Amino acid sequence: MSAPMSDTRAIALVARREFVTQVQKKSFLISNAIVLVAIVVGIVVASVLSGGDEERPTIGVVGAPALSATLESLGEAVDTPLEISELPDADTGRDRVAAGELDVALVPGSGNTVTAVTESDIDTDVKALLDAAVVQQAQTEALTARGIDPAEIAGEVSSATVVVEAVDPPDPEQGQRMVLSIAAVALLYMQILLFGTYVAMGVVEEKSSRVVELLLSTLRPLQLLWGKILGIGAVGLVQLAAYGVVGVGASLATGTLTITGTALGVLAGTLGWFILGFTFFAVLYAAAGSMVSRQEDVNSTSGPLMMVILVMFFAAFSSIDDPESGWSTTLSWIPPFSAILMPLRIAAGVATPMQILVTIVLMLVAIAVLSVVAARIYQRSILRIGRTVTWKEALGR
Amino acid sequence: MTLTIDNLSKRYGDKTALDGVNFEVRPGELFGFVGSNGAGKTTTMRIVLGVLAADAGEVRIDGRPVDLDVRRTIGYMPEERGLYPKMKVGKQLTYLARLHGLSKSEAHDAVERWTERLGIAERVGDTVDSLSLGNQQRVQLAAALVHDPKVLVLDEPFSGLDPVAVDVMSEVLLQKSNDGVPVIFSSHQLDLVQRLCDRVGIISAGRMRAVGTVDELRSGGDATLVVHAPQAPAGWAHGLPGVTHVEYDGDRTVLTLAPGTDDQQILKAALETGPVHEFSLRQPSLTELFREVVAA
Repeated sequence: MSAPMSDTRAIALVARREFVTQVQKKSFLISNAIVLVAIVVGIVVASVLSGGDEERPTIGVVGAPALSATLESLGEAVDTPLEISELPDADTGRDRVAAGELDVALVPGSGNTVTAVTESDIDTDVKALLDAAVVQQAQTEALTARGIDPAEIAGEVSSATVVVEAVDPPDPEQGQRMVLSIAAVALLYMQILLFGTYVAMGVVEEKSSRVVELLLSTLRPLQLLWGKILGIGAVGLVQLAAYGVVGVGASLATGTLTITGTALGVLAGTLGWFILGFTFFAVLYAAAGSMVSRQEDVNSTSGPLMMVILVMFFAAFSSIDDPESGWSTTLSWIPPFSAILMPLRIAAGVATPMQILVTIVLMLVAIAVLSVVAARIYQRSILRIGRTVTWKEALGR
Repeated sequence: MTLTIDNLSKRYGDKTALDGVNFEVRPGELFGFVGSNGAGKTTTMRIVLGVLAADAGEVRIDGRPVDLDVRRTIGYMPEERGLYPKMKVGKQLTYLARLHGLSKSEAHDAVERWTERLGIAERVGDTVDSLSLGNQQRVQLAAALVHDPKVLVLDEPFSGLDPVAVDVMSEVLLQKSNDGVPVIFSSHQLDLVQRLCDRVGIISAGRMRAVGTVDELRSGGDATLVVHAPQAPAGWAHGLPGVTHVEYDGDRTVLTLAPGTDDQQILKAALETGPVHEFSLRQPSLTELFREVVAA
């Protein structure tokens, strides 16, 4: 019956327990349900609020159908479509503006003057449109009066346009990329910190409950260590994926995000870098957890890790505006900063495939080195019940 | 299966914990491991389970050095009891059984069997920390037994048990040894050890001071002989062969005899002084023996 057990099987058994134990917690299920609902609601609310600018300015015109036509075509031409209606007289116009049904009521006066009735202030874009329309209308009338066909003039004038040649054209996706960057950075920070802490707490739980001695009579310390990291990491990954898929899905569905390809790329990049960043810190958190015997002492050894994660987070946040700044670029090569700065650069669209590849390799090397050190600390400290093991003792010899 | 402890040594810094510990637990033998606190019992057991590494020496089962695969066939109850406090009894035992290499269905059957046997079947759905201390101990024992171990190593299995649980524990240990499993357990309850064990090992300051059956050990210790010979002159027993110590208690003389002393010679000497009303030889109990060995 007790056949030799492979490392894979042993690690899988440990990982499975960690995963199942974590996802079956009531607190875990409830908090995630709340977060997912909040993400959807937040995105829907944001899309409704930002949808406000699609409302067309409403303009009522007393008489003068020619002015209405000019206004309408001008509005179309400058990408500000107007909602134009006809008004029987000036008083009706005033009433409807006062009631908020109209933004502006146009009342033609003597000669070429036109009075624009508004509630208090007039939108500058609308004002410019009105001015242009009134001038054009006056010109057309004047030209027609002199026997010239205004359409002929318009045809000749239409070729006189300014072509814009931008040296550094603005990225039309920039706004959305910024939103994606902020989301990626914030999520990575939360997930790495939270699930790293779970690893440390899990290790201390086994140590403080003494169950670790029973476990280590059937498992190698490293099987226990990696099983735990794998199981908890899988929970973190699933949670992050759920947040990401729901967030991106809701954004695309509501039209808050329109850059589908970029959004999916950033999501994939964020998940990938979570695996790397989490593993980097998880081995260290496991080592930190193994050095103490009581939950309340965990901060004494894991505090420095939290500081590093905080610094990473601030570095990432302060480079969201300008991810191509010198220090940010330099830092993005260095593990573990790459774990949070690279997804940011991917989101901002400034990471080259080469940089992505090299930073992944660098991160893997860093993880390999750290896991050797952390495994050593873990093996040395995990059965030392009592006072906190010092770094010197943990690393010595 | 035979468990062989071969010349184990272990140091913690300057302190010697084990100094060439040697003994054997044979198939079907119930072996009592006794010694004062800090004598080296737990260290020895931890080394058997690979939780600690020895500086020198080796542990073998049936002549094969104990590696991780062999170790999975051992049932272990650590001195520091411990289970996942928030995990349900049934799930926890199933998990531990699977870590010992049982398949899912084997693990389920074993958990059912042992929780039934140990009277905790109706608690399998409860978390460990919601159980009474006594029931937690039963779960701990179930954890040691659930994978049908070929060797049992139990560190202080009787500590903290109520009398009923002591009976259950004794019964289980006897049954396992009857099945041919070598069983070693440590205890401070020497009367219990004397009653249950086939053989006993006494450890003191990291060295095995005595190993043998209880009878062997008792006959190997200093026996006490009480002689009531009212007319015997003072000093009558001095110089008799095998007498190491003489004490007078009124008319009675209390003699301490070296192992293997011929008491009939002493009876003859006593009768020569006059009538002998009482002549009683008493073998030391394990407790006395233990005190003697540890004090030496």
